Amino acid sequence: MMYNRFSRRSFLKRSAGSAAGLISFVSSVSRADANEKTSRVVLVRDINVLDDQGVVNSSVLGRMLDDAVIALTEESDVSKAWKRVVSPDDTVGIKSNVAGPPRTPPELENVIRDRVVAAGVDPIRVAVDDRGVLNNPVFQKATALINVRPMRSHHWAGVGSLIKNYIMFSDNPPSWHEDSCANLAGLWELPIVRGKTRLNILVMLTPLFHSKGPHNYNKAYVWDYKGLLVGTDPVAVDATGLRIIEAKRLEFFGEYQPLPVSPKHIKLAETKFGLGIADPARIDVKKLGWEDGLLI
Amino acid sequence: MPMALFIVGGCISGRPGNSSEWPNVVGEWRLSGEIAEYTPETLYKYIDGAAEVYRSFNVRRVWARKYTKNGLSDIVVDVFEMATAADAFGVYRHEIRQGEDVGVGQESEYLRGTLSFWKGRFFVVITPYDDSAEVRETVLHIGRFLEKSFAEEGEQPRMLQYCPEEERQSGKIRYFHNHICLNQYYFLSDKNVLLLNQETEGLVVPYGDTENNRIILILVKYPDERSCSQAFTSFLEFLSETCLIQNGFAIHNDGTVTLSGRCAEYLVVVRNTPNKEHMNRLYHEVIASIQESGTNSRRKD
Repeated sequence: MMYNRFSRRSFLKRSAGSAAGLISFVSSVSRADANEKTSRVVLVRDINVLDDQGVVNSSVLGRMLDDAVIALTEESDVSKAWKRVVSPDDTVGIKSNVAGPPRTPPELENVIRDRVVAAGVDPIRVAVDDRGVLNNPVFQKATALINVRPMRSHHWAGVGSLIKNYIMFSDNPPSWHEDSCANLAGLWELPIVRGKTRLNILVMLTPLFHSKGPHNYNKAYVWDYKGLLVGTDPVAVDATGLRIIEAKRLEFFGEYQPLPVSPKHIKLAETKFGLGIADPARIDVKKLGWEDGLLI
Repeated sequence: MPMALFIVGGCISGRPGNSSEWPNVVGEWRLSGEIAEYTPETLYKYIDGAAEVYRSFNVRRVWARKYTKNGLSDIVVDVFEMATAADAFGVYRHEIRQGEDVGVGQESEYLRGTLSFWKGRFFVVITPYDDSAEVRETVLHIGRFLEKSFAEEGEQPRMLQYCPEEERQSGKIRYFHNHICLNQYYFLSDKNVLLLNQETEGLVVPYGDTENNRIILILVKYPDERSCSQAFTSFLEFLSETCLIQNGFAIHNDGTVTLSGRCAEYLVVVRNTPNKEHMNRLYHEVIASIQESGTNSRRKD
C-alpha cells in the first residue's frame, strides 16, 4: 500500500498477489488506517542540474530522478527500481504540465519516457500530454500514470502542484474551482485516473513561491532550488513542497506571509478524500544530494 | 539613459479588440499572430485558475497579443475590460504591489519586466519572460501606447468617500465583491459570514502606519437594506459564537476587538486595535458620512 514505507520485505508481502510486483496505488484508506500510516517522500537536489542561464542538464536531471526512484523503492539498481514503477504490459500516460512558466521541463519528460521504455514498455504505448489527455488514445487506455509538474503558487488554489495536475482529466475544469479548489482530490476518483498513478514527481528546480499577474509569474518570485520531490503519495509530496514554499516566503518577505489563498485542498485530500497523508509528522522525507538552502 | 524606440502602426480609439489598435512594431519587436479574445466563460482556457480572480472582478472581455523578437521570449500583452472602473481598480489592487510606479495609467507597477496598470475600465498586464533594459523600454512603450487608447479615466469605488482620509493608508486599500477575495485581504472566517456575492461591493481600508495602531475598516455595500440586514444578522451570529461581547464590542480570543453596525444598505466593521476610543471615532465618522450623503439611513445595531 502506498502509504507505508517501501521496505522490500513489506513490499513483497503486500504485493504477493501481484505478478509483476509493481508499486500499488490505493486511492482511499479509512481514517483509522490513515492515522497509523506514514508516507515516504524523496527530496533530491543537485547544484549542477541548472547552469547560470537556467538551462537544464539532462544527464544530471536523469541521475537525480533515478536516485529518487531507487530510494523510494529501496531497490539495488536503477533497472529494478523502474520495473517496480511500470511493467512491460502497461500503457503509460505521463501527465505533464505546460501551463507555466515554470512548466514541466521537456528534458524531464524525455527522461521519464526513456526510463519507462527501458523498463520494457513499448514506446507506442507511452505518451506525454497535458491539455489533451482526454482525447489522447494512450491516456484513454492507460493502465499506469506518472504525474509530473512544477510547484507553483496559484491564485485560486494556493498552490498548483500534483493533486491539481489532474484537473485536465475533467471535462469541466472550472467546476473544480469552487471554494478555492477545496475538492481537487476528488479528481483522483475519476474513472480515467482512479488507482492508476504509480509515481508523482513535483518539480522543484525553480519553484514559484508567489503569484503575480494573469500568467501567475514574475521572475522576482522564483529561485533556483534545484530539486525534485518524488513519491507515490501525491498528498505527501504536495504537503512537503508546500512546506518549502512557505519557508521561502518567510525568508523572502522577512515575516510570516501566508499564501493569499489557503491551499486547503492538500489537507482536505487527506481528511475528506483519504487520498494520502498531509500531516508532516507522518511524512518521512528522505533527503539526497545538495544540502545548501534546503529550507526544511 | 532612455533608449530610442520607434513605433509603427496602430491608431488610438479605445477598442483593443480591433487589430488596428495595436502598434505593429516597437523597436525590434513585432506583433505576432492574431488577436485572441476571451469571455468570462472561456478565460480559463487561457489562464486556468487565475481566471477566477478576473471573474471575481466582473471581467467582460480579455484580449491577448504577443510581440516577438528573434532569440528572445515573447512579450505577452493582456488587456482586461472590466465591468466598471472600480473593478479595474480592484483587480489591480488585488495583488501585492512591490515594484516601481512608472506613471502609466491611473496606477502602475513595473516589477522585474512586468508592467501592470489600470485606467478607466481597463486593466493591462504586459509580461515579458526576460528582463533587460531593452525589454523594459519596449514594455513601457507598449504600455504608454495602450494607455493613450483608453481616453477616459475612471473613478475609484465611490464608497471610498465614506472612509475618512486622516491616517488612511490609501496605497493599501482593497476592493472586493466576494468573500474569497475579502479573506485574501483580511481574514474573517472560512465561512461567508457577511453573505457576500457578486452583487455586493466592499472595501478593506487600513488606518494607522504601524502594526500597533493599525485599524482595519471593512465597509460593504449591499444591493438593498434587506440583504444588508440579513448579512448583519449573520455577522452578529458569527461574533456571538466566537467572541466575548462587552458594551457593544466583540472581544476576540487573540485580544483584538470588533465594532460593527449597519447604516441603510451599508455594513461597517472596524477591527483590530485595543484602542476602543479610536475605533469608536472611526466607526461613527463612517456612519455619519453615509448618513450625510443623503441615504436617509440610521444606525441599526
